[in-house]
Amino acid sequence: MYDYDNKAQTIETEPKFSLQGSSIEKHLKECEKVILLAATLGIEVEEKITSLFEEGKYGLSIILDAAATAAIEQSADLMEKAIGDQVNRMGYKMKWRFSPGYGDWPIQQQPEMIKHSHGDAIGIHLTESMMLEPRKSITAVIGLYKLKDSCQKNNNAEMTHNCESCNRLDCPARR
Amino acid sequence: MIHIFDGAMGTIFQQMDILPQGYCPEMLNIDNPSAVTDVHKKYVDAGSNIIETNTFGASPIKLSHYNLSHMAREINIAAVKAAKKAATNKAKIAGSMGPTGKFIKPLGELDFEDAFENYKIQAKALADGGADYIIIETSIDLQEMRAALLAAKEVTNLPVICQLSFSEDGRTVTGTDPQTAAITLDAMGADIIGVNCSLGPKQLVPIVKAISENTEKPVSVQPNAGMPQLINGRTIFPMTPSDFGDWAPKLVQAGATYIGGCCGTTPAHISAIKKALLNVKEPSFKPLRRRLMLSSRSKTVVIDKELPTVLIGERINPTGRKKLAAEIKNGSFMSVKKEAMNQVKAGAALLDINMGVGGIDQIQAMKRAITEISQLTDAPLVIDTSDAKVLEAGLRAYPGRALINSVSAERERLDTFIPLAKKYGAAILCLPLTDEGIPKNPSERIDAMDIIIKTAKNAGLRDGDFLLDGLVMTVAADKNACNQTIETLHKYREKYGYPATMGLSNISFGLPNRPLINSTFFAMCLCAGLDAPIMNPYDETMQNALMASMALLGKDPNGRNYSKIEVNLAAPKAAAVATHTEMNPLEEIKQAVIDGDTDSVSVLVKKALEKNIEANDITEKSLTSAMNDIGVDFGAGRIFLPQVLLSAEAMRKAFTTLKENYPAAADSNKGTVILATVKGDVHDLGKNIVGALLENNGFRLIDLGKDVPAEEIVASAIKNDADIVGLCALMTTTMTEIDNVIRQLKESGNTSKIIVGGAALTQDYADEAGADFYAQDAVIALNIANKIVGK
Repeated sequence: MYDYDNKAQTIETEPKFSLQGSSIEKHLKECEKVILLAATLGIEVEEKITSLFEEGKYGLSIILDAAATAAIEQSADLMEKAIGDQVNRMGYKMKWRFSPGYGDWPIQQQPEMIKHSHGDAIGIHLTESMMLEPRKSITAVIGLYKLKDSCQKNNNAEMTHNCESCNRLDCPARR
Repeated sequence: MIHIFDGAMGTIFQQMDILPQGYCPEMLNIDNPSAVTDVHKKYVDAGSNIIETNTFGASPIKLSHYNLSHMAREINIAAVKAAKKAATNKAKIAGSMGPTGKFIKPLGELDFEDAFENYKIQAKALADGGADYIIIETSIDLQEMRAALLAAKEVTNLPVICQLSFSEDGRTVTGTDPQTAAITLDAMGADIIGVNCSLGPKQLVPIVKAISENTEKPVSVQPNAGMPQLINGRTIFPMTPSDFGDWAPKLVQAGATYIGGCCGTTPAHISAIKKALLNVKEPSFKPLRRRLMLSSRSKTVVIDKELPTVLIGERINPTGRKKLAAEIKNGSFMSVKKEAMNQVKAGAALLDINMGVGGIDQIQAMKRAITEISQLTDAPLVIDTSDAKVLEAGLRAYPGRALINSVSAERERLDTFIPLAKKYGAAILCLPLTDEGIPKNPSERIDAMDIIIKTAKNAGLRDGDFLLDGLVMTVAADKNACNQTIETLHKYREKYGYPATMGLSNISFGLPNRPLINSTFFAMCLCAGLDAPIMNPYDETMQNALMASMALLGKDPNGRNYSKIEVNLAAPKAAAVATHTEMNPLEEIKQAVIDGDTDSVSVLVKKALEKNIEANDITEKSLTSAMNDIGVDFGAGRIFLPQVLLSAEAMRKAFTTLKENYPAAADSNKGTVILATVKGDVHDLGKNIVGALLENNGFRLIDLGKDVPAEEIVASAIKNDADIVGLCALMTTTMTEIDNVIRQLKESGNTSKIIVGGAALTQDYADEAGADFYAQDAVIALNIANKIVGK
């Protein structure tokens, strides 16, 4: 967890980490602290997906791939939930997690994300083009804001991801 | 009489501003009982004559969220007390029990017994506090409802109201439809069966109707005030009291006699119902003839003399099957599960489950078999055991209404099995055996049957709970064996009118060519009144006898199905490979590919080649044609990607077999395709899927992998004289590399057609980048590729 300067759009890490883009600026507008989060399923599941496909077990391979995607999302959800309980006790509410690549937040900021979330400790690294490896990995920032009356209204809406904030209009999962 | 429940409570508490954040609403019963009484009083004044206690979340498991489990009893007792103060003599009190919020195994982690204990504590406290009813409500899982109902019945004598919550598709979250719910809960002794929450009154009318058509118990309904709308991040229930009241007569007409409200309803809604029902009479229904209905979690099967024959699959029985017995003994349920799936595929509507293996814990084995099979198929199950403990373990674990195989007129069976049938709402298969042994003639069999049915009815079982066994003896030992069974079936029909069953194969014991005797006997019995044979559903002679008999006996009017089934009969794999001579080999291969049946496809291809069918014909008329059908179904949303890929697996098997047996087939190819995920991107699953489809549809595939530099793609396209280059990128940040590759390809003078795809791509982007085609999914990519080389 780090302090966050929402005027300067900067996380108070050492050295300071300036967030780029207006999406993340808007998302963290009223936040005073942020939590940087990294999660991965590791390389084994990826190797298994690849080897199954190569063996011609296409069906099993893509189902495992889909399950792995669901699993990494769920593990991040669970972390979020666990963190939520803790920060509530400290008097904070949580914004939903935001990852590089959402909106106009450039994925070129992944190196700092991994560094400050200590993602390297669990084996996450980057390709030249800023892709996470292993593929079933997540980095994200969770903004924390003080409970004020003005914020309470929309708690429920803000706890979950919503399709409205996404610009992929032809997504099959869009609701 | 029409009874009026109350409406929502929580919203009124919120308006009263007595629920601080993080505060357990049920604690109000203790901390502020007069506020609770006040809310109840508003509803009594509005006209409720049954009010529900403020205990929806007051079971120990649910209270554990607030670390208040230890307070459960106290909270529930206090809640009844608070309700009583408001009720005076104007209203009865229903003690409310809501969901635990967890799923019972195998869907979730919660053990059935823990759920049961949880509800026992709550039901007992509500009863001790003085409630008049127990109401189990908003349940989304039949199995949790069963746990709560069993618990309430065990610790109280109160009438129990069971209300499930259905989604817009007409099923609960875990798949139960209203008919199945009504049948299962009615049999288990629920006193009032109904529905609440989730939907508005309009959507609940058909659900109420379906419930009331399947039970004679009173039906209750408590709709939300319309369908929820999300406005400014808050959930709003839009229906006004008068609109809500307008629906009340329609709900009564559909069969409900207990009516109230759920989310979004207020005392005003309740008084609107009251007013709307002022001159409405309770509907009267002529009781239907009770038929034998069995259910799984999500399906009901009816066995009746007026309906087509129902097959009971007998294969999950280790008796005389050494391999199966050994597997079960070693704790492997592989074959058990496979038999379950295959029997259903072969036409079994019910599955008999027998775990009679010596030297194992049969109680555990039965529990596990029932749990796993009920998750695998929706065919209702038949619990086949002679041990009451094994039976109870199976019945407890089963989320539906099972059939017990079997109850004889032997004293011990009557004493132990019938109470279990009653408690768990199971039907019984009645076997006319007595302590003296096998009855000598049909009238003695009737005597034995009388004893069973009388004892069962005394214990509370009713018409519709019985399936009668015709008892088959061996004709080689007794020349009258067949005649006696036939006569017994006739007598059953005359005297009881209940459906009949039997295991058939015993008849031919000791004779040669048993299938002929068996199937002839089968046809005779079907005519005499056999409704649900216990048999091997893979047995084609028997299936044929059944099919013909249905047409002859008028259960398949004018043989309409007969004319279709003959060619379409879906027998399981083994049978299909061995005996399906009717289908032509090319059709068979095509069907195997469509089914994704990788096991039989090689065998079928080999068989076709042995019959001198041209490899070309197999490719064209079976494989390509299958892929076309699959493509159409996929495009129409009838099947999904995993099914397409299973078919691709079957295609791959078919091609491998073709090439092994017919090396010339290896040379023929439609064209060369180079595929690559472009530099910078590591996502290759989609590209691999495209590759798999192309490769298994006769294209020569050169897959360069992921993160491939433009130079390498260009070089490979030139070197291999590629017809098609397929490029893929998933991300907006990496797709720009596609432009680069296309530019370099064109600069090199290469004339391959270029197909691009990937999550972030669009037709517009593809056009801009200069690609020839854009494919949004793998099937479309294959169609494009076929078109390109077709030119």
